[in-house]
Amino acid sequence: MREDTICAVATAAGSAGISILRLSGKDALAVARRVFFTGAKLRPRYFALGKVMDGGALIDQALGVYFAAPASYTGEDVFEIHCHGGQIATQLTLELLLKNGARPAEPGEFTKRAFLNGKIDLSEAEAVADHIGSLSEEGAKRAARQMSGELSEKIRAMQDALSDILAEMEAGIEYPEEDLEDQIAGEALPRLRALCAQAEALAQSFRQGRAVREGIEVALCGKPNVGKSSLLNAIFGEERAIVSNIPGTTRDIVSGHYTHRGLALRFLDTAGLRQTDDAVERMGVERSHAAIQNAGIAVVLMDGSAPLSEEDEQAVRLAKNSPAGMIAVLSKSDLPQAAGVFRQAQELAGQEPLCISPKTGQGIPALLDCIYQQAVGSAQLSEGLVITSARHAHALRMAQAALFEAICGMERGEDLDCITIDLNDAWMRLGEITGQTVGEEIIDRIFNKFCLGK
Amino acid sequence: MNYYEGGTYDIIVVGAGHAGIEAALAGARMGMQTLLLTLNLDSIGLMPCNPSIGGTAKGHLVREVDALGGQMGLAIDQTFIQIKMLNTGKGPAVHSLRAQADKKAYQAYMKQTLEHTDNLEIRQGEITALDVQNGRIAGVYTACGAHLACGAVVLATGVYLKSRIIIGEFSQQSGPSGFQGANALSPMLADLGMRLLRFKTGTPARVDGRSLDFSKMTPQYGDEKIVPFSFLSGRIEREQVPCYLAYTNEKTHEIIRQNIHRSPLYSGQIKGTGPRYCPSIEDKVVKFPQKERHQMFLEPEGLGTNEYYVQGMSSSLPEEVQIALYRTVPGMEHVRFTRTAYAIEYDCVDPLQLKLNLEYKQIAGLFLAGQINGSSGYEEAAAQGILAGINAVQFLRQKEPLILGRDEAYAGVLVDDLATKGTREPYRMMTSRAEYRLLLRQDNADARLVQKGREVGLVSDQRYDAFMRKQEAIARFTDKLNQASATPAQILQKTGLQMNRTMKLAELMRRPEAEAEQVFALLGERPSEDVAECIRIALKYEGYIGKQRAQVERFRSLENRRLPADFDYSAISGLRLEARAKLAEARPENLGQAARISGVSPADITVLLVELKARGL
Repeated sequence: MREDTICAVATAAGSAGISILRLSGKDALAVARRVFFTGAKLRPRYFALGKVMDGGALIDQALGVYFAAPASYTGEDVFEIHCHGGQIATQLTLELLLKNGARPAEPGEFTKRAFLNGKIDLSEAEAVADHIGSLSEEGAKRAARQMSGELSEKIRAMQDALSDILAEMEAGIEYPEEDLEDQIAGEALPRLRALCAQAEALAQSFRQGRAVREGIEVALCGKPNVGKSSLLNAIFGEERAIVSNIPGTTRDIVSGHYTHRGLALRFLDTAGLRQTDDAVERMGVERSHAAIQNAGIAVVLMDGSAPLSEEDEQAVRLAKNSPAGMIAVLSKSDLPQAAGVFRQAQELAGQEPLCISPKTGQGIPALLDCIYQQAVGSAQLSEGLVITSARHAHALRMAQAALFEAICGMERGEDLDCITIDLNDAWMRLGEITGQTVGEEIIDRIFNKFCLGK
Repeated sequence: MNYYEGGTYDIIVVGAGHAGIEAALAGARMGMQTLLLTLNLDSIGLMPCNPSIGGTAKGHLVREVDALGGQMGLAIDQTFIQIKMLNTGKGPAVHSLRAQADKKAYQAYMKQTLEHTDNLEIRQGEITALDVQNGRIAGVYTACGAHLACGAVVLATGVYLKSRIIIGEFSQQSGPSGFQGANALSPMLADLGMRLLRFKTGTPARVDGRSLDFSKMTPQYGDEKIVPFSFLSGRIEREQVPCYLAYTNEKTHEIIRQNIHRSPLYSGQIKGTGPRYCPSIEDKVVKFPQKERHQMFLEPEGLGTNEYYVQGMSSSLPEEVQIALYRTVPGMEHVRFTRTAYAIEYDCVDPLQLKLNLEYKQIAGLFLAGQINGSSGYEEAAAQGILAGINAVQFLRQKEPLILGRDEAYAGVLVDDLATKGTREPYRMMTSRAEYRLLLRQDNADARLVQKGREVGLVSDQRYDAFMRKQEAIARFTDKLNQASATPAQILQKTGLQMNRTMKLAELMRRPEAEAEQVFALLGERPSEDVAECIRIALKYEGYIGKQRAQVERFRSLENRRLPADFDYSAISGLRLEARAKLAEARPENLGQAARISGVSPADITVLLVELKARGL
């Protein structure tokens, strides 16, 4: 058991009915007893009703439960206090525990201890970390799926295909005197290109995966007074942003969380994009630029009730030049629309604009669906496999790079034994995800596939 | 039995095959009083299977043995009757030398070498027991009643332990080629607590060359420009003899299918594990029914004999079936057998019980090398032999053992594979077993190993001086290529290549389209063949060599983390039970080795890393 006892609020911050404080470590029970007082006998895995007391002062009425090592999540002695009160009671209880011998847990430290004590393995530990980090249900589902090994299966299939190619190459190298032509499955190049594309697609899905796990930032942008703040308020149904018809009212970035179909969206209401002499407003505009650069999706609003202006063009260009995905929107659909504005916007944005009215709410569900689809891809959210771990995404990108190198090498006509350096590299990168290392695997395959030997 | 005191030695080597020879020579040359014991003095350096040395990866091993100061390369250079560099159409990592040997000449050369080595005695005799005192080897007992005292023993007994040959329904206790087996030693090793394995291998028939119609086969010639195995051999010019290529056909396969029930492998008479890379012809036909023909090579067994070895046609079918199926091959219609093909079963030691210096974990000073460790092949045996010999000396001198890394030598890969992963079949070296094979080339075996051989005292002055001269030449010419430039006009004139600017010759050499030969012509000075080859490869493959070096660095990060010998794995709470047991048994020497043990997962390695860090190691 580790020496020190760690403590943290185990439930998400927010206004939930119950929040749980968890203690883990050698002194978990002792520390808890200094804070949590109950008349009941504490038996492992049984709840006891009691009081959290700071000296003589009652902080909260709470439930306490004790897990004796090693039958606990971390494998150490664990004590949980389930507070009934809101944020304040939880905060006070935490401070009390810290005063009485616990130290604050580092992020992920409970999981780390569980891993170190052999309660979970590395990939499970990662999935749990994702699980905790995921803000939305979709992310939690995905984290659960990763634990079930769907990703491993997919990666193994890729390794399998790669092993075949390697075995064919190696057989030719090891047995230069054999005629193996009739046993080769086909040209290696197209098969490698297909594998490279698969690795790329999976690595790409990390962006979507991150959207699922952490949610995605949606920057609302456009020229001043086009209705960005109104849209934000319409979505949240409350006056979040200051709305006036004086252009340039939003000088800072206003944001809010919204969950749509299980996807966490963080909306950023940016200051209107225009040239301005007002120093404060200019600062706001600069921040908007930065926000669009960092956002996952930029929704560009254009005023449908007036012909498009140079500022609209500017806004579209800015969004197009950012890494964010763009959604073009014609706002103020409740007002009479300017002649030809739809086609004008379509040409400018290179996509059909959505027509919405923040005032009446028209088109807003369609916009949310559109954001959702852009963020996670349409059909694949429920079915498809998405990478959610940065480590996996990195390994896939490295595998892809190695495969690409191999393909280039083959096109340049490099020697096969050089090509296999990159292919083995790709194999091992994939193995970093499944926890396999190259070895007998390829040799087994050579002999299963080829008739060789003296 | 009452034993008489037969003498005292520093090292006793048991077995005079390819492992025993190198072990004994290494011991004696490093100054140890060495005794080489063999069942039969006429089987010194015997090649009971194919009459060839080298081949892919095996050729690399021969070069490595040579660079460390061994004999195999010199012996084959003296006695080959054909030599070929294989894989020249592929990259430099997999160029491999292979030679056909005159078997008798090879044996005679080896026997003579042993007889002329100082500090070395050779003696015929069978070992029946080991003298072990307090967990340390103290001597051996012979069948004729001698007790021979020594400080270290190298067991290199080959396939002779309780060996049994099988031909169809016939079988008998025998070593290879009708030589006597050793039946007393392996039960005694089991009594000492060694875990034994039972392996199987086989050899094809030998046939009378006069009964073959070579006109129906394709001749295979050696290289015109001879590249020798040994770095010491210099230029060799020699008349070579051809081998011949022939094929089986549907009739051959039909005979095999009709008689497969008479094969001891399929009838269950043979229980030993056979090597996949050396399948019998019946295995090939059963496993690959879609293949219309299988190739074979007819290889001469020597200059002074008519016998031919039929590579590719090993079999344990009954003799009459063998003759019938051989006679279906065009050119072999009237073939006469001189020796029948057979399978052989033998005891060997599970190599997981060895340390990386090839010492048996439980008995200090007892080293094992060659086929007894579950390997197969003359070259694999020689490589283990020289390392076991060196490490027996290091043990006696209480010096650090010579352990070669997987990034340093095929010999290192070989030993690490055997001792760390073990083997379930006779282990053959393959280039794909070496993760860093572009660094472990046959052309640079000297650069990788001569210094190491020198440090332990095995590399002679003559070899070391030749090595230093070559390295200096490489450095000098590389410098020159880095300094000298050529204008586009000069380049065009000498190479025919269009370049748009003046460039350094080294840069020109790096271009795939530029021939090394022409670049040296631009320099106006030409190094010797071997030096030119080293420079060419270093420049042409710079990019890929760099990649491998980067991989080695990643690999080294685990390899350099030593695990304490007294590490209590059972007390490390994060390890899975299986990993605890495997690690406690294997006692890996470093984290990298731990990671290669089957049953140890990457997560277990992470736990070990954390634990080492926690202990400040």
